[in-house]
Amino acid sequence: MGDVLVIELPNRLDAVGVSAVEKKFAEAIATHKGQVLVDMSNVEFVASLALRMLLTNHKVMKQQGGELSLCGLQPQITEIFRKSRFDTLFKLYPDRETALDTLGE
Amino acid sequence: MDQRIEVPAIWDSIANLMSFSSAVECDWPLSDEQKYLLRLVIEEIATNIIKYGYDNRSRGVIQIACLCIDNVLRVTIRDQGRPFDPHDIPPPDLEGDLTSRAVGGLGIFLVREFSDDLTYHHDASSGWNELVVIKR
Repeated sequence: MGDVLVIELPNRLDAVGVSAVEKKFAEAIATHKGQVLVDMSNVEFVASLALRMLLTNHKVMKQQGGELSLCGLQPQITEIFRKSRFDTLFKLYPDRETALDTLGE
Repeated sequence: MDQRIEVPAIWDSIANLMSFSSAVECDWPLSDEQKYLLRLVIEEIATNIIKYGYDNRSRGVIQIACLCIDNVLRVTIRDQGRPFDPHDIPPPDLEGDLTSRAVGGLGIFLVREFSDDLTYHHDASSGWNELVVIKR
């Protein structure tokens, strides 16, 4: 139990999008204990750099004893996650509400 | 008619390439899958060329040309860096849990997975590499 930190990511997580958010993302996670929920509902594009950012931060969270979950994946992002088997590494929720209901329990 | 761009192979060019991708998306009636692939190919291949293709002594260019005929999208990427055939890259290890899973190595894999056809040619006399990616 505890606070769930929600991080919203922008629509294009291409190399430009990732470089704009990765520092803030890592800083937020470094100082947060507990659960982190990344809201992906605005995200229409991810490439390998974005996957790397998500997995790196997920590993950091795990080391800190927390967990990083994702919600709101659009169909094409779901497909990327399926092909790269990232769907086996993260807890995925359909939307923020469902995620917060579960994580806050 | 095709749309093309040439940029220096440096990180600062990525933003220009992404704008180019957006412009192509606007001009042509591409499917959602074609739009995604276009952006994916440009990002993954261009960053690869910038990272590995040109070493520090030779700063070359990246040329991209897009063509859409009969709803088939064809993206051609050319550079004069180190020869690099995406087919030679072994598939990434997708097994493993959070602890053992590598954080990188997915770029070329995603391009291969999402394209319908991928051909690479290196011209030894001119030094040009050419990668052609097709999405129907």
